[in-house]
Amino acid sequence: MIPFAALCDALDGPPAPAAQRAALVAYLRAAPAADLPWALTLLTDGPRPVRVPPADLAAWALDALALPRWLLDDCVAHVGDTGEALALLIDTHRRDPPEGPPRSLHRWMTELVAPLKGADADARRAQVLAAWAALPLRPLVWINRILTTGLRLAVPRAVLAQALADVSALPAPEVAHRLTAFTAPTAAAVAALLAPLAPGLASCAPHPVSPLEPLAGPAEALGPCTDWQATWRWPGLPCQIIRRGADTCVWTDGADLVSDRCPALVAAARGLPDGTVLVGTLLVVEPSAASDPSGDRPPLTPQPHDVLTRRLARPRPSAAVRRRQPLVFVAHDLLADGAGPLTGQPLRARLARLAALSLPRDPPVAGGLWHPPALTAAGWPALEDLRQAPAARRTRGLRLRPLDGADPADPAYHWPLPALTVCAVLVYAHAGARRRQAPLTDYTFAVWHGDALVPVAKTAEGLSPADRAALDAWIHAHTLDRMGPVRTVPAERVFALSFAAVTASPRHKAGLVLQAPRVLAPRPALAPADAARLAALQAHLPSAAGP
Amino acid sequence: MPKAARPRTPGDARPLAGICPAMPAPDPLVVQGPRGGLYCPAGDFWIDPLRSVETALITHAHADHARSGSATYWCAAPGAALLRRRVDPRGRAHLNPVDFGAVHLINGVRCSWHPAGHILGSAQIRLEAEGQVWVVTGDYKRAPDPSCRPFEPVPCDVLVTEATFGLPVYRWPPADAVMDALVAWWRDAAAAGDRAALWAYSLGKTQRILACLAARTDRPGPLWVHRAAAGLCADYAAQGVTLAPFEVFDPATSQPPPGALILTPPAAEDAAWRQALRPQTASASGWMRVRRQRHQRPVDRGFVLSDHADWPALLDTVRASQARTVYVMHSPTDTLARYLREVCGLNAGPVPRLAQA
Repeated sequence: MIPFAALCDALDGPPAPAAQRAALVAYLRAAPAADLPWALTLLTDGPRPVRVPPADLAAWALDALALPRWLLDDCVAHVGDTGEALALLIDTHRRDPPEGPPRSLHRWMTELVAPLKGADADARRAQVLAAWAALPLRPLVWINRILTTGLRLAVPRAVLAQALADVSALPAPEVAHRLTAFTAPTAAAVAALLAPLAPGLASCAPHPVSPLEPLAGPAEALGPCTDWQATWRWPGLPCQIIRRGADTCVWTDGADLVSDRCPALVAAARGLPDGTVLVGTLLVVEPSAASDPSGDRPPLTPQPHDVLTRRLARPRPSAAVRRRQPLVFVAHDLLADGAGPLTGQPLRARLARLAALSLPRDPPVAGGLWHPPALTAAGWPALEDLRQAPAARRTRGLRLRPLDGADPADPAYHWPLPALTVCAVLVYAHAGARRRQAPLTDYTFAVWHGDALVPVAKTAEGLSPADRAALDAWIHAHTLDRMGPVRTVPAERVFALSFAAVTASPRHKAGLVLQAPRVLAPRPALAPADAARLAALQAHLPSAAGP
Repeated sequence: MPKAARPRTPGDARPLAGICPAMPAPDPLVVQGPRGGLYCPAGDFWIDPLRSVETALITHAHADHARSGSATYWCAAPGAALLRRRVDPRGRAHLNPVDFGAVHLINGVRCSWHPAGHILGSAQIRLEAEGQVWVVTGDYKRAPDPSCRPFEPVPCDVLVTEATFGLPVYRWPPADAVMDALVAWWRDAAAAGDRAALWAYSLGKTQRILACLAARTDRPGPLWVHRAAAGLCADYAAQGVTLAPFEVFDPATSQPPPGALILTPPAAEDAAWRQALRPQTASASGWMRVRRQRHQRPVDRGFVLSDHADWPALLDTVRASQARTVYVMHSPTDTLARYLREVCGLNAGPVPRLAQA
């Protein structure tokens, strides 16, 4: 248990993939074989044999130590975690050093943790008290964590896969793929995880795809519009679906395997031929969104990006979560199909093969694969109209790719949406973090909601140094109140802001927040009452019905 | 200086009289000043004032206890040079170094200084007047420290104790074990061809670590000490404390070789040299015992090494003082005072406040 606790201590902390990988490799090389199944189950937050309510642990510890409840409450408030506070309290009140022979991780898991399931309260209490008496502080902290919340060390699966690859000579993507099927703490599962590669087995690693370049200059400079494929660029994660034999791998961001987070997508991809490599975007959509019969505006409503990242972080999404946050894969390229790789062929041919896969062409509002119809436009002005339309605000703009480009790494362009503007009132200012500390650089702007100003944007971008210095002097002279580093100023100064989009945000009083806000210019001619109203911004929310 | 009247309303001066009516708290010999520091009305002097006063009795030279600008300072003799360096480098104030245990009469109050074991020259101040004995501990620790005299319990009627770590989650591991772990971490960094940077307070912690390392023969590389702490180390050496040999680290010019251990104050956490040298980093502090606080520091490792008393040491000190009334200072919560009241049956609470006349 002590080496595993030391590993947990090394992994716990700010994200440092290289150090985490080194610590994992050192542990995996030295750990007894019997410990590996449990170590991997705990590190991958796999199913736990038992859950003990923290309140039970607290009651047993207070009883055993004869301490008042308020003392524990003070400690938990200070430490921030009941399991850790209990471990520290037990260590403080220990008279003798921990007793009993040292036991390895698998013995702790099979002899202590697993038997707690189904045991009655007295037996559980006796078992846990005996374990507390036998363990030094650091293992005690981690065993309490395992009993209450699970290890939850948030070691990225890619890092764990890389470390396992280092000790097993398997390719890291292969290990990552096998890890998605690793759920039981058995020696057989570890053997399957680290088994040598079958000869002739294709790689399941994602293919390199170059990122989009922002479009500089007018689109007309790219040549005839008909030489370019235009698709909406959805606010999601770049994603590849790879079929290999009976397996399906779903990769995001080129490195993270999320196959076990999206069972519905994996099931939908099962019909694709062996060897298929689909390239697209993964997003979470509003489940209630109805498709638009006219078809000329993007008919899906994506949920904010943080919903997607949290959805993909859930190890085993429940049915309710899958229903509330359905995942949609928007396909826009095909790098290989059943007949072999297509990477040498022009995009035009690849798209024809993609169309031949007969993926659903209607937006799947309940989640699934989607191959949206190509945007048909008579020319750049018509595309420009589409880009300017209010409904385009659900997307991040357009993706432009040369139809004759044979290499998926050919330059492709991102044509962002035109920036929106709003006039808002400066309400707070505060010094930025660390290096930007000296001047007051972070400004908070608000718009009117009834008679009140509600903050909608915070930004440090856009003002010239001269404007900033003048504003700094004004803020210092007119500060009404201070809350830590934040200064409240009179609602007198109006500024024009530009922003890319509006997203719903329950954390903000306004219920929304501006994306990529930037100060365009001061508007000294405007009175505060002339600033925008919240309703004007609400109209830009993706869920608001377009005109 | 403000001439403070004796508290007139008994309620102000004795906040605990209602809690333990059978044991009324004695009239305070020491009260809390309005802006920090303790005031002794009977002797018209201050203990650890945070602003300039006529007469300041100093427990130790840390900046939250010793400030510049007062006319007369009293302190324990071993810490006099440190205090001079910190609060009065130009020698304008009158500084009275006193030997441990010697009694001085200051405006009718018998004052003496007793070792507190916190840093070099740190002291508890014992006050005797009007038939009462009060002890103000200042900061103290009970763990062994080769760089200063160990804490000596002083019997008293009223104990004014610090409680920086006044929660039962704080119990320090043996200092030897922590030093073993620290040297092992340094050795691993040296073996990997890295430098090691340890964040430690420039006065006290740095010299304690240097004194502990002086006794060890297993140092894996050279020691460098940030220039902010180098002068203070000289003051320690002048008092006969044996420190491990080190070179002065000037961030602008120094190039410690790989394998070196750099001791640097926490204020230098973000310094540019950290980007240049890319050392493995650690912090030595009592706060490192709790995960949440360890994560607030931008370091790779945390070593639980504190110059303050942990929970068992606080309770042991209260017991050894035989005081029936305990006032608690520098505590993040009311936990220790409540424990002393409800579990130990003592009069306990915050130091009475100076009543404004």
